[in-house]
Amino acid sequence: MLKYILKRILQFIPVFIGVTVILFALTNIVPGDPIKLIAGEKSLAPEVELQLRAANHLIKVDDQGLPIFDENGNTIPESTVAQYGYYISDLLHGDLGESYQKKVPVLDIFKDKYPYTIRLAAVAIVIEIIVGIGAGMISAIKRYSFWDVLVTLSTSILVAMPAFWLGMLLQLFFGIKLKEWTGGGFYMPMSGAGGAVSEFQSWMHYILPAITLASVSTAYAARIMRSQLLETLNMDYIRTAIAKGLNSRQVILKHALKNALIPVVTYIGIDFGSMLSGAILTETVFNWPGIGYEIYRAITMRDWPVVMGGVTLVVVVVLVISLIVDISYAFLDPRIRYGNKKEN
Amino acid sequence: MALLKKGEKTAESQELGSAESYSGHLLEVDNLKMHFHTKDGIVKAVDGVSYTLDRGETLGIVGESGSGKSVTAMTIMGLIKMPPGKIEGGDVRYKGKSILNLPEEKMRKLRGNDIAMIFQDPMSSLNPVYKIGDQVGEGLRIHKGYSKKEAKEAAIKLLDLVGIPNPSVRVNEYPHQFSGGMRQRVMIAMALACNPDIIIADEPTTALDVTIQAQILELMVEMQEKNGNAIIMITHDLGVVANMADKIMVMYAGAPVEYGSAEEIFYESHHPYTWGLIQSIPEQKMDEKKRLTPIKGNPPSLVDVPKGCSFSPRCPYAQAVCFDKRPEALYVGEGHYCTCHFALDNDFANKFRPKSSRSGDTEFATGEQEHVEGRA
Amino acid sequence: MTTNSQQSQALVWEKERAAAANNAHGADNNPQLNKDAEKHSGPSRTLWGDAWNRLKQNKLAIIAACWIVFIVLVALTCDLWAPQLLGSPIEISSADTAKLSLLPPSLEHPFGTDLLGRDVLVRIIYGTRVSLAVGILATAISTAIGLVMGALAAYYGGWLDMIIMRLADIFLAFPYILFVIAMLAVIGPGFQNVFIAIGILGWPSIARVFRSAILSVQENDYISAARALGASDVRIIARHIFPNAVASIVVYATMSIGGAILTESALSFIGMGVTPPTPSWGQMINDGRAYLANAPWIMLAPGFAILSTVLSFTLLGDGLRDALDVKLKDA
Repeated sequence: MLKYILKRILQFIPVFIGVTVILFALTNIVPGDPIKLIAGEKSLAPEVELQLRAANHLIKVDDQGLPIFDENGNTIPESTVAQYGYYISDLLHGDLGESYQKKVPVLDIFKDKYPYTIRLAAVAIVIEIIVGIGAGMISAIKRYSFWDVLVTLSTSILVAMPAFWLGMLLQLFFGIKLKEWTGGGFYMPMSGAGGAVSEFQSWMHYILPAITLASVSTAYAARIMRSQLLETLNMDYIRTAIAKGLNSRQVILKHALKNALIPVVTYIGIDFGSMLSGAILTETVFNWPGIGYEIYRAITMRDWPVVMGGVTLVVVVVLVISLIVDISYAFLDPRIRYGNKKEN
Repeated sequence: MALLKKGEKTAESQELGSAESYSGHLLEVDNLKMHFHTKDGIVKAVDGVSYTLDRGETLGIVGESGSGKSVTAMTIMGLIKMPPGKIEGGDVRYKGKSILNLPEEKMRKLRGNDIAMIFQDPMSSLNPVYKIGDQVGEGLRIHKGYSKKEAKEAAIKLLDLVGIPNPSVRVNEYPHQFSGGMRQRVMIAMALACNPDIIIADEPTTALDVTIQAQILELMVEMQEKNGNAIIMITHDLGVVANMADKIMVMYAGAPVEYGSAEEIFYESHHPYTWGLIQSIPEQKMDEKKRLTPIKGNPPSLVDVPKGCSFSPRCPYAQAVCFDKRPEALYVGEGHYCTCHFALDNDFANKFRPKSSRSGDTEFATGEQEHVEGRA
Repeated sequence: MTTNSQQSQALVWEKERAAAANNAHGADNNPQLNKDAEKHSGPSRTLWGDAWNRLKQNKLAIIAACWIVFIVLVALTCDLWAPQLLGSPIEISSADTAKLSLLPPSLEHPFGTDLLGRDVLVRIIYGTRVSLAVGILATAISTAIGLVMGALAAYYGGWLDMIIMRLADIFLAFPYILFVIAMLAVIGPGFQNVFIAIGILGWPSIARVFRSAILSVQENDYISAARALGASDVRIIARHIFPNAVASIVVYATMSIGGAILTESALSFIGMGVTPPTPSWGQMINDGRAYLANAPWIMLAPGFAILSTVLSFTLLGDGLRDALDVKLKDA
């Protein structure tokens, strides 16, 4: 198993480097001049621009962080490789750059926001596990029944539906049309600022955003669960179990489910990462004070360093989560736990 | 709870008649027909199979793939999905009572407990995520109400019995840690767990190396001698059942073509298909220049079986009547029947029956001899 | 919409197929049955003729195809009739704005009007242009890149294969929507940039599909025969490999048009997509956000437009997959 874990970590390193190179390339090379990205459409005073260039490691600087000039009085550009080195070092130190508009470090902006995103994603994962696995199981066990058709149909629709629109439908229905019945608990501020943080303490406020965030993932989880269980039920060892005299309940719950669940659990684990990235739409719809909503705000204000910083933050977290899930897969499957399973 | 289960089980056994009290055949399969209704037509996978089985007896069912031998076994175990499968006629009686229409609940009490099955591929027939011990002991837990601890102890004993070294350690291991031969031993241990009356082995050695094959067959015979259970051995290789079967049924296209004692099938067979099978057994002592004689052609489609004798398109001796009329089962001896128009024509049989090395003197007997030595 | 959606979709397809194949003949392990099934499946025609016959029997796929043809016609012809019937999708004179603002659905305005007094239906009609254009162009770009990358990887193998597949892994490790947002943050929003970004970042999946399709046909004898006859690499790929892999590409491309439409709507919704006043469904839903309580019709109709269009591409793709008997492995 140690070999498996080491292998996964070794595989992770080139992916991590690749992803950071792409992010670095997007921020520093593609636009030709990253200062334009920071400044947006505004023009900058020469001193400010020089400072920015120095601070962003675009030109060589001395110990005090002041630019070094060559004999002609020009700045000396930093090499791309060195720039990437600075970028990685900053990234590992948690330095994601600075908001040009707010003049505060990007990480500080997101520091207060991420608990909301994590909490929302956690509730969504719980929904995904219960509803996704449950619906998939029912649909596989009662194959071709009314419930199977219902699950297949609704998952197809959920996958083809924009999640943000589903969120608004839920708001419209539960928050507005059924306002009396729900006591207004599902109602969210519809526009403008997200409102005071304290507004979001009540657990009821989690329900609609979490359903919205979980919708697409739950649909996929249900479909994967269904097809995995159907495949598992066709396995030889299921026939063995039936021939042993087990009843269908024991066959499904003991012999089929554990095998079928391994890939589903892996999918849901990795999905926690994509929920963080999907949060940008859900949080926008519900004005949820998390990372996604902050990225949306930054987009509307054209504050690109915050957008890039937020994206980088989520991407790195997603990568790390997928590594953890990959490794924990080893604990689920005895074939990996006790060696000798061929790697895909 | 456990006690209650045991009580239920006893009532069940009484209802089905215990082995001691029932004096007829242990298992009777009577003109069984299992057809599959597919969108391409009706597949007559099993079309009129009959045989009987007594305690301690071994029946070999031999035929090419697609001849319906596995489906017969699965039908007895109630493992065929219906639909698309449908029983079109016949009966299966265990200790005199029909089990074809037994409610699922009662059928479950039979499976693994009274009739156990060993499957072809030991690699895929064990659940990869459960420990060997749990899988071997599972039958005891559900049928005999054993506790987890008792089941594990029993599993260790069973693994030891089937010749798995170091059973108290291996009981905690997972299937992928076992070799193919060892896994088939586990399957046998699993089948033996509840001391069933009948063990159905569906090509138990096909997926294994030749050297392992012999070991597994030997083990099955040995276990049979210890426990007195009956065995139905399903195989496509007549050689496999040569040394262990008391009776052999040769199947072709869903129906038996010849049924008799092992000696009758090997030395006095009357059906050209049986001859073909005998000729295709590789023989160690055979002259290297002598080639194996394969049976030409392919088995017929089970959707439209030929009008006359199903073997007629491939039969080298087929006459006009063979293509026209379906042959009936003709008794050529006590308990030895053959579905061939010329079964009663002794000249025909004597003329064409292969003079294989088996038909003469020693091979069959020698095999037996070696076997006894191996066991001693 | 999420990183894994394309991969998991493929996983689902593959498993469902396997399960269906295994179950088709009950619990039997009888190869004879399968042989019979093949023999009885009617006279064989060409791949596409056969596929068409099978597709015709799939009602859902045919309805989906009809809907797609319908909206394509609407997108192509709307200039000729829509503004005359329903008014301008872009601008309404200020005098009319006050009069027409936020009208509920009526005979005159079947889906109501928005804040600026524009008819919602006519904006949806014009929105088909953006959605279809982005869907088709983005898919064309990602398919083109994917085909080249997949062909290079599969045909030449070795280190080139390794580099391209690692690169694909890296792209797929990136949460897709965030990748597109990051790219648009750099190159700026707007119609052109949206389909370029979606297209450029979508190649790894199709490269994988094409690569495995090539690998599976490459084993065949006729490829070796063509090579022995001295055919050039490009010729072998174009004449022998591509036609055999084209079925899986058609299926995959159909599905990814739907995916691209969904992505575009999400981008327009958060303001990273098509810039106003060009009507886009996602953007219209965002417009409706502020008036959810008073004028829900602003966001309802565009949502149904997205849902029905994306669903149609998915169902058509599903139908094509079954009809062409495509196995989407490793996608």
